[in-house]
Amino acid sequence: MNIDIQNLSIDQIQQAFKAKKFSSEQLTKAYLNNIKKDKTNSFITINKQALAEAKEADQRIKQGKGTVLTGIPLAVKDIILYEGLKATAGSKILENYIASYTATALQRLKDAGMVVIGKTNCDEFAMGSSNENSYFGPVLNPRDHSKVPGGSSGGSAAAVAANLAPVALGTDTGGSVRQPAAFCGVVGLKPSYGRVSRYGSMAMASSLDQIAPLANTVKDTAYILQTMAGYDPKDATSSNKEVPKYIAKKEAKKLRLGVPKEYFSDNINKEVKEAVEQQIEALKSKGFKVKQVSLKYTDYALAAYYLLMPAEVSSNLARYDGLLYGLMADKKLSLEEWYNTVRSQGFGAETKRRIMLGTYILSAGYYDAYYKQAQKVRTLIKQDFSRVFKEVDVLITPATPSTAFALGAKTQDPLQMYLSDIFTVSANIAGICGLVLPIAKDGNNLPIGVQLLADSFAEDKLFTLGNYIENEHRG
Amino acid sequence: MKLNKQEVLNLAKLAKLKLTDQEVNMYQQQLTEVLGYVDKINSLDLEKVKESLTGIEDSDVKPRSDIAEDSQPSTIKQAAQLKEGYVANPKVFK
Repeated sequence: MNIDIQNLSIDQIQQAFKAKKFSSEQLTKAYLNNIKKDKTNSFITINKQALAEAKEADQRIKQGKGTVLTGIPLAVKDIILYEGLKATAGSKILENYIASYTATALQRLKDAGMVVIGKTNCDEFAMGSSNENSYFGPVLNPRDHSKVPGGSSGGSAAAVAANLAPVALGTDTGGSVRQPAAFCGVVGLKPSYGRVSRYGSMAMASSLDQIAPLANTVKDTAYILQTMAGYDPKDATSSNKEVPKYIAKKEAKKLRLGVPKEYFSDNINKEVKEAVEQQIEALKSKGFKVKQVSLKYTDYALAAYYLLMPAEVSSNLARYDGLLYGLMADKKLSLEEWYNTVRSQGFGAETKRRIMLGTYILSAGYYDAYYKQAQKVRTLIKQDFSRVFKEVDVLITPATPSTAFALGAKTQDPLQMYLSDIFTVSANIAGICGLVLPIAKDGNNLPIGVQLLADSFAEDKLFTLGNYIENEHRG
Repeated sequence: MKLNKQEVLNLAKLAKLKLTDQEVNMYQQQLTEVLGYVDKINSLDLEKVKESLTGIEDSDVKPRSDIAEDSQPSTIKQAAQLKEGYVANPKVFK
């Protein structure tokens, strides 16, 4: 059976199930076949139970007990645990680690009937902006194999863009879902901090991490959030705020839009800047109220991020000592030698770099000069956003300073690599939500993304405007 | 802020990492460069600003009550050495 699986949305799949055009099993098979032929290296592990899960979903649909997500295949970043399946985090240190439980967010999607198709490649422990820091090799951008897919959720973004899955889960700590979404030309949502449980997502920087969906349409990210969001007693930082109905239709033009001038400097790629400016003009011409605003600490956000994040990384990654799980050493070694051996052999270059950076930042002599100062900048950035969100509902910015760059272009220069997160990190520092969607292509036919930012727990506004922009582009 | 070789080695020791000479050279240069960049926050006057440790000080989120709950023994099944239900580690004293 031949199924056209180009850019399928959840609604399209459900309609096809209803019309008996294909079953979940047939659809899952079609994606698995695509994965077999694929050259992007998007997956680390294929779920051998995927077809069994799909059959189960078909049964459930037949019994009339299906949800909107039942039977929909899902690719999951390999940093999120799914019981019984390997969870490597893109690291040698967890090369053979098998998840002993399932992340809450994923469990909720499973309970709704989704089919886990496999685990996707990513930068080691979600640290990177190009997916070149994976022990399992880089992921190639499906739009142009000589380019990076972005990172750290590069495999998840590429999987959606290459039609290897209709929806995927990633994690976003400083832009790790939004930046690859922009580079691969798909939709990526970073929920507000606390909206989705982090239980079962390996911690990189606990005060910044969120599990986040990628898909072909804005509505699909809303469907996924609707099911995964909400309080979880297993994550003390998950919010017990009620989860609103995200799919409800709302009038987009009632939203007051803001353009933060600091995001439009001359340092960004001209084509990206022009595409976003054109988008803003198009919205104005449709009658949207658009106001220029200022987020004056924007220029300090990346510096604060590269202090807060490594500090948390160095603490969180202390747990990888080879005693409880993962890579082991010669049992005759002393404890100190054991630790040194496991960690030196198990971690890659970028992970070691960030651990050492964090160790430095948290060390007695520098804590006040760096970590404490960064926490103060965090306060300022949060205040910046709170002030602006009194005047406007949604901010519109470029998602990235350039389109996808060449493989290898920035691997020798960490600072240049870090600068590719410049427009995305602020949302994580402030805990607000952000949505990236494709709006144009550059001269090399590479996707350009726009970023929409809204206040904490105002994802509904992102969906409303995102939907509107998406429909305009579809014509 | 320039890191010297000895400082890089000290950091590696604290982080339980064993570095090759080549890695020491590389990290010395790269960490110096990154620290030079992040230092820009020190150009701000932050004296009167309160720190935000978690970013969610103003929210409804709080830790659960400190009451013991069952743990999941399955999480230690993959330990390097298990003895009578406990995780054993290499010798600390000779």
